[in-house]
Amino acid sequence: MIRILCLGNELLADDAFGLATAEELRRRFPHLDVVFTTDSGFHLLDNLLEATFVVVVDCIQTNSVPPGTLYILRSSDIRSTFGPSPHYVGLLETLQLARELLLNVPKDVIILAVEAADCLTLGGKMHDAVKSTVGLVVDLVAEIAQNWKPTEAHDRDSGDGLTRAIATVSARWGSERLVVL
Amino acid sequence: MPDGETKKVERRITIDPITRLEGHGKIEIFLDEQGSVERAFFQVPELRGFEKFAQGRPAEEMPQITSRICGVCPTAHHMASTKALDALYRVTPPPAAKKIRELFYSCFVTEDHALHVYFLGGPDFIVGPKAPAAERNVLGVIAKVGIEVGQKVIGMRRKLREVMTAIGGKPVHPVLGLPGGVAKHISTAEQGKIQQVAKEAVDFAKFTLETFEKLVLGNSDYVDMIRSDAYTHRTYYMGMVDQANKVNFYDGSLRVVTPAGGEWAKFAPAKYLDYIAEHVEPWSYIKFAYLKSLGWNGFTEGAESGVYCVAPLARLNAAEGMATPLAQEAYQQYVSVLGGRPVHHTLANHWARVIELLYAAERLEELSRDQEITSPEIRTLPTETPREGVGVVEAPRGTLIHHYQTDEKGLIVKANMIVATQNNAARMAMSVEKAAKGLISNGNVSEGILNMVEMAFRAYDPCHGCATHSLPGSMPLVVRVHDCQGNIQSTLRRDWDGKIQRS
Repeated sequence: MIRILCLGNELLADDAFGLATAEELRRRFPHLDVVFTTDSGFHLLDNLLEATFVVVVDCIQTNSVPPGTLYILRSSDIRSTFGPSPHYVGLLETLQLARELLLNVPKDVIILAVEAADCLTLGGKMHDAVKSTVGLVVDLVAEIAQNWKPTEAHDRDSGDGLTRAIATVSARWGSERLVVL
Repeated sequence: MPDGETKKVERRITIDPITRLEGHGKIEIFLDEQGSVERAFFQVPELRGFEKFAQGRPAEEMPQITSRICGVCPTAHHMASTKALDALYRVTPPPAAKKIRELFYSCFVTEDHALHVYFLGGPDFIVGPKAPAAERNVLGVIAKVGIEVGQKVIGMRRKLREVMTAIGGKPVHPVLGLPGGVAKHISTAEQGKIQQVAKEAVDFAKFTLETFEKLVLGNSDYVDMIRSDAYTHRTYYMGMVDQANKVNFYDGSLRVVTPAGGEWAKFAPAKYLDYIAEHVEPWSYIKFAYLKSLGWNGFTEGAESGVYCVAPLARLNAAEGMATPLAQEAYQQYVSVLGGRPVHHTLANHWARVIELLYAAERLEELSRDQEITSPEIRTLPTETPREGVGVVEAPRGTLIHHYQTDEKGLIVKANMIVATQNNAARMAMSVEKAAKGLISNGNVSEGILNMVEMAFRAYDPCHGCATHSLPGSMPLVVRVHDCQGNIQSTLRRDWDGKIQRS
């Protein structure tokens, strides 16, 4: 079962991206399992349980691409997790930990992270560049959901589904808006 | 960088932990001509615009809104805000309501401290400071303590959250606090359930203390590190205490002790502005809190400096002991092993946290057995015109202050918030500098040194306006060495996938 896990905080300018995406997804695809949460780090465990495949939507700040650019990353691409961030354990560390503890969590997670301009101003508005990526992400999620098929042997998308989804969305929105890690 | 520094400084090492909320929380280290650390600065991104954001809002909304500011300590904000409303409306909650609030809050601190001990601090002190970086993460902790213990932590957390949901509606964004009381009473059946969970929590906390003592105190490398001068500062300490001067997270007076351990001040939270002021350095937009009457004397320590800190280490110093028996016993051992009170070793924060975990669990159990918590008298309705109110709690990471001024309709005119990190900011900067000074010479920067400076940073567990927006999987670090012209001489980089690169 696929779950779309949107992270963010609507009080913090571009961090409202997750909520905006969740609302648009629910509007257009009411059958999809869409969750929005302000939880972070380890507390995301609650949202990872009992799902076979999770797509995470979040904000990021690398300061190396223009705001609104979308990073795409899948958890299986990360060979090893690393030391804890100050203040919390990251999403992927939480996943790895959960697996280590034999909890029922997805074997694969895709992360869609939009480059934010500002996530620090309380009551701030979303920047236009970030807002304009909502449509792109909704499109991409829809393509992923459509292309993803659980197999009998494992609950993991073979990878071709994601590649196809990215290619379709790239063609539609422009490849410069996506960074595939 | 401040003007004038470029002329003096030969090389600059920059450590950039990449955080969620800003590309970078920077730690910058300046070297002198000999390649030794001259000065280190620490910059943590802070939430902007709280005052403007709060203006015009009904104060009654603030417990809900402010709990949404922080994804890590929502309950702390909710509770501080609720208490600010009590003060704003000059209304006193009935005893049962105070106990329900404190019970809920004890649950929160137990859960938060448990998670922190195992999964945040654990990689440093359970796995060990000299272990390879690839092992110093939550998986390394599980490898050390075993899967069963890991599952126990998760199970404990789930049960504590269920209790919080039963009492407060939602663990993450509680709807519990109202000015003058709480929204919901506790039934006898619920009380039974809480007692069960509380008892388990105490057993779990005891087990954690034993594990800590075995793994940590049995590791002489780590004990040496705790006691090392590189991680020691003699500052003032602040924490909330009850009437007997014992640690209390929910309510009491704020007590400040000197570096020698004597009481310097004890005051009602509403008077905080008489004692705490804020200083802004030009290179950082974070405000550094300091003790007002001592004045800002720079990033220095000792009795003449207004620098102080908060959080577990500080709380155990500011108090005269713990209010519950097992925690008190643990506290006495802690003080004895570390050479007396007050304890000045920053890394002892982790140990202090384990002791606080035990206290929070014991306090939860005490309150769960109190017959008054099932009373229907849970609210005193406010009747006074609102004016001004201050609410203070001890968040897991330190003292949290909410301060609201409203018009007669209860709409906010002015608001201020001091989060734990602001109280710790000055000492944090000093810790990073001291750690760097002790560990970097001749400009030699090895990977191990990155970890040591990080450890100082992590012992404070600073608020980054909550959570991080880094590439998932890790905390990337960048160390840049600059010559005096500002050119980058070399780079040491640890990326999100764990790879370390030098260029």
